[in-house]
Amino acid sequence: MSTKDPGMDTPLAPVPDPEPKSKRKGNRKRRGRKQRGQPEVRDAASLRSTLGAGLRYALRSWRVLLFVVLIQLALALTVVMPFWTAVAPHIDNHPHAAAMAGTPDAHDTALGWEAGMHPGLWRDIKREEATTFEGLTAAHFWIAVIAWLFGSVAAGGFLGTAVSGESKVTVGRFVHMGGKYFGRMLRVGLLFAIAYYLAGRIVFEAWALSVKPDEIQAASESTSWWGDRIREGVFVLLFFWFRIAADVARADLVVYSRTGAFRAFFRGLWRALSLKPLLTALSIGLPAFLILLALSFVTGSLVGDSWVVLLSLFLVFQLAVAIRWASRAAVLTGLAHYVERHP
Amino acid sequence: MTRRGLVVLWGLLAVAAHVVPSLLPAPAARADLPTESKRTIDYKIEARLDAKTREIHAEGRLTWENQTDEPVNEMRLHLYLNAFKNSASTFMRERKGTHRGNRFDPRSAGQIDLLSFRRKGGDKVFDPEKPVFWHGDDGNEDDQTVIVIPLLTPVAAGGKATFELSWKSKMPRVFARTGFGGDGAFFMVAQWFPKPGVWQKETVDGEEKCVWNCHQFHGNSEFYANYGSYDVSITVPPQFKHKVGASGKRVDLGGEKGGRENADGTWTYRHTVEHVHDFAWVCGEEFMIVEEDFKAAEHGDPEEQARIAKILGRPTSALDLDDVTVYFLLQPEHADQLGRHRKAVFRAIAYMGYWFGKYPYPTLTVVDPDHRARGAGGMEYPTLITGGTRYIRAEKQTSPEGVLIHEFGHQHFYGLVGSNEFRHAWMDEGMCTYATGKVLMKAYDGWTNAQWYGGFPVYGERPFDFAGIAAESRGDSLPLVGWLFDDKWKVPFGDVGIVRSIAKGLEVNHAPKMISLWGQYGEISPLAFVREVPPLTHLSVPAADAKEYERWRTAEYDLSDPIAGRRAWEYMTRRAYATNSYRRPSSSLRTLGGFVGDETMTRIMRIYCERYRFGHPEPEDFFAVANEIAKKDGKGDITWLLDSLFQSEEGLDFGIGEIDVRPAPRLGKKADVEPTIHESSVLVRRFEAMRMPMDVRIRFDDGTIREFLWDRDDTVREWSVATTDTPGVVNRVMLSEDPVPMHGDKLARLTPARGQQARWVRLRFRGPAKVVAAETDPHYVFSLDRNRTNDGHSTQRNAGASVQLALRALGWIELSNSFYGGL
Repeated sequence: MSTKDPGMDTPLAPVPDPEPKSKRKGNRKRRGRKQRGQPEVRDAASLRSTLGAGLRYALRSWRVLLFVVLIQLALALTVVMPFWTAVAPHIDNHPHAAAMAGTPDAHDTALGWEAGMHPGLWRDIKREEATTFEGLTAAHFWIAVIAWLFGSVAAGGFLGTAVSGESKVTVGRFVHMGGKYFGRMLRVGLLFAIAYYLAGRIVFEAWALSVKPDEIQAASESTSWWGDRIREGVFVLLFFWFRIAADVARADLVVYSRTGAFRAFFRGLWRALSLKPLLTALSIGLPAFLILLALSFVTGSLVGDSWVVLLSLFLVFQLAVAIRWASRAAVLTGLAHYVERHP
Repeated sequence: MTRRGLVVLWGLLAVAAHVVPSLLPAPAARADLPTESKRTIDYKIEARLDAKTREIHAEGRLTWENQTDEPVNEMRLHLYLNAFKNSASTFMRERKGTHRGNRFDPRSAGQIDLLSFRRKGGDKVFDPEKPVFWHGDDGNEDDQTVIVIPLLTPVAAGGKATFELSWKSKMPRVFARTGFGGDGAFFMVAQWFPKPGVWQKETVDGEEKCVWNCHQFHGNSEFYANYGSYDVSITVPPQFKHKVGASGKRVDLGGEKGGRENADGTWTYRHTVEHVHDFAWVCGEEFMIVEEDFKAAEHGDPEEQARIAKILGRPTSALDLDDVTVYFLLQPEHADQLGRHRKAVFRAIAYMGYWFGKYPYPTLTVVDPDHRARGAGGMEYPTLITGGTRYIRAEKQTSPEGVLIHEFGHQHFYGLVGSNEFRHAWMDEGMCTYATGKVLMKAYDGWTNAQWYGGFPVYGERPFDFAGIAAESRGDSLPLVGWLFDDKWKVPFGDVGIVRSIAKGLEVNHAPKMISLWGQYGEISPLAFVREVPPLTHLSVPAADAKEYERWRTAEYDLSDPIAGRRAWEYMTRRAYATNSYRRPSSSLRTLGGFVGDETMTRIMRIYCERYRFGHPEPEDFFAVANEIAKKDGKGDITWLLDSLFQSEEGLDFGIGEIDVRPAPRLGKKADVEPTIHESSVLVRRFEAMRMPMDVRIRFDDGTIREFLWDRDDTVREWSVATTDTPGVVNRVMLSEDPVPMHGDKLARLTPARGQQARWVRLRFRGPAKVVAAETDPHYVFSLDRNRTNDGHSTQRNAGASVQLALRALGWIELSNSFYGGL
């Protein structure tokens, strides 16, 4: 069974059969055989339809995005709360706390306190709380690892709910799908990490160490500087290539219910070189990043100690997180749309 | 006139004689700057560089004058290059073979061999096969940095002797600011000739007599020598044609750019300079040489000149500066930074000229060392300084300006005021750091922190250190992961057959034999930019000025030594040497200035620099000048202050312990309170040992502000003060009794020591107004404050700033985590 989404020139992915679990399993087997042997012929995905599919999903999955943002918030708070409890006692009851919040009064300015965090006081706080700050770095590391694992849940959730074609993407279904595909998504993530690591070894160790001696002996310092930039540039390109490949692989695994992450990733590496997946990721990822940069102008203007300012600042950061995840959801589901039509 | 009238007139005249001088600006001790040194030495050198062997072959004629009243029967000369001869020298032992991140390479060692030394018209007494070295500092018999040459005939008191000598200097790969770089494309030629020590009168074991002040080259020390004149001819290979810079002024030899082409294609340049105590030169194939004129009329600051002249009580014209020709020897890739170099150097020439006396030499050479010889950067020689910059520099950071201004500052504190860098490093480095900070604060906006992404700066800073999962996985705080990803795990690479073939095909000559499984792996900066979106999430901390920067850098280190009274190699650690030679003395000078006031401090520094221009002052000389000027300016005897600031190992940290406000008990009735009357108490604490008079500023809820002075010898711990009910009045009260009218003048009012200042004092207030805030040192006099977080306390909480910080951190972590979630 398939539906046609209003305004789309290509059909959406099939809705799962409302059959008993055992039968669905059988169907999947049959579908799997069909895909391997006789792929279903669909219209080729255009860039427009791919982007449209991704962006539509991102819009209709706002509940899920809210849920993801809350998860990010919860994870971040585990580090931020100790951070705040460490710095607040040094600042909140300081006679010039208002100046540090950006609203100096006459008393502050008379003594030379200007708007903004005092650079010397901030250094003293960091020195006084050095042990706490070191602990925060370690905590941030492990929280980032958990966030990475959660990313596999989220990828499975986005793709699973998108491929199932449900018009209303609920958090329950998202979590269910995330759990269902977690292993596959994680395996792809690990393969990406290995590729990232190897690329780093090749670029920053083998390549860099081979040419660096000549670069640093060149007459101009610019030779070495540009050498570093070229290697960084190449590494960034490799990073995005691997990342798109990993997302194509994830889409492949979900759309076709495959389990072979290794094969999917290597297929993804090849397919990621096609124009449409590249442009899909670029067309969504780049504007999203530019929006994040643009938000810095908003946060830069939010200065003061009123609750309106602080709440606005909080909301802008949550909006930024939502944009990052929305773009993630849109890229993944856009690529799923592409993969579905380019088996 | 009646007898009574005469008595009255006489009395009035007597009073006027006492009062009028105190109303006038303190007269300068000597209005004119000395223009000449005593010229102890006169050195003529002919040097020839062999770039291939990195050797300099030189012949010299040294005329030395014994300006003491005792004859001398031996000469002692510094042979500093021998510090880089091997790992056994005192310098190498003390530095453990490293300097500013550079590791000594024994394969590119440097040394100086004195080949001959004979007195003109006298007998040869020096046998190059049997040199005698002095190593009295540490008894290290392997150290060859001071040579002793006996004289058959002593040089009589007031007499002169001329010596003819020759030597060979082998330059090391640049190390500790001298040597070659770029495979011989760049030479920084410093500490390259036998330089006489200083024959001077000292007190030894209670007896005053003349001795050689000629120390070995130590890891933490610099130099000390007599003034004189140098006339140096430098011959360089053809590749260095017109690419030579040197101390002093070039003498025109008739060829292009004042040089002379020799028959063998080499070029000779002759430089002369007078009233200096060292000579250095440089040549680099890549140099882009730009000649710019500092014109006093154009590049000076008339407003500042007039201000300083007024403070000194002299006509403005007395502070006129001289024009200076400045040669910038830049690397071509730094050509776009010429403007930054020019501004920094010109501002330094101008401001330091007003503050410490004009720069008297007609030329200044500013060297931007080759990037293959960074160890040559950041160094001063008479009329020649080396800076150092990078391909890309941040606009809002004062680099390279800071180092350029600092090295120029050494033209005053080291060059013109020739203190002994071995024994009193703070007198040149500390005063120079102070001077650098003054120029930076006058001419620049301060230093804004930045993170570097892909070779470009982004202003702001991370809430705390976190360079990414890959980088942090190697951190000490993650022992298991850190061990796994340690740099020690390496695998074969360059010798693997396929790699060798590929390398050969690509004409790569340096494929590493082993590559690390994790080394050099960490922050990939462009990706970090994508990950954390720094403009959005990083903390925006305003620029810090030099005063604050030096304060917190000083506070980062535990105190272990006094500033004065240690030889450079006698500090607990190298870091202790650095702290006590650079930033702590600078902060101490600022604190001194905060106490005595800007005008008195200006006079102290200027008079000190004038009095000891071309001299060799000791710390006591500076203290004497400071005390003399302070007394003249009505600040009283500040010996106690100078002792605390420069001769103490104690730290300084005052602050507010707590504020307690409660309804006042109704007098005479227990368990009852007066609802409109409050009792406030403010606990003021001295957290560290140093005792100081401390301002305490109290703010009341009715707007009243009162300031108190907690005297440094006040032993009382409890003070009760009635609250004023006059809003908006700054009511300065000396805690003990008298009001103190102005901040800078309070020194004179301090009573002689009565005892030890208590570690705390509690101020009690009773009245309708409640205390809402209290802070120590509100006018920020104490640049030595080790902790500003405890300086003040307010009963009114304002969480705006801390919440802003936390929200930034929240956004930073959330966005970073979201990035990782997408991988």
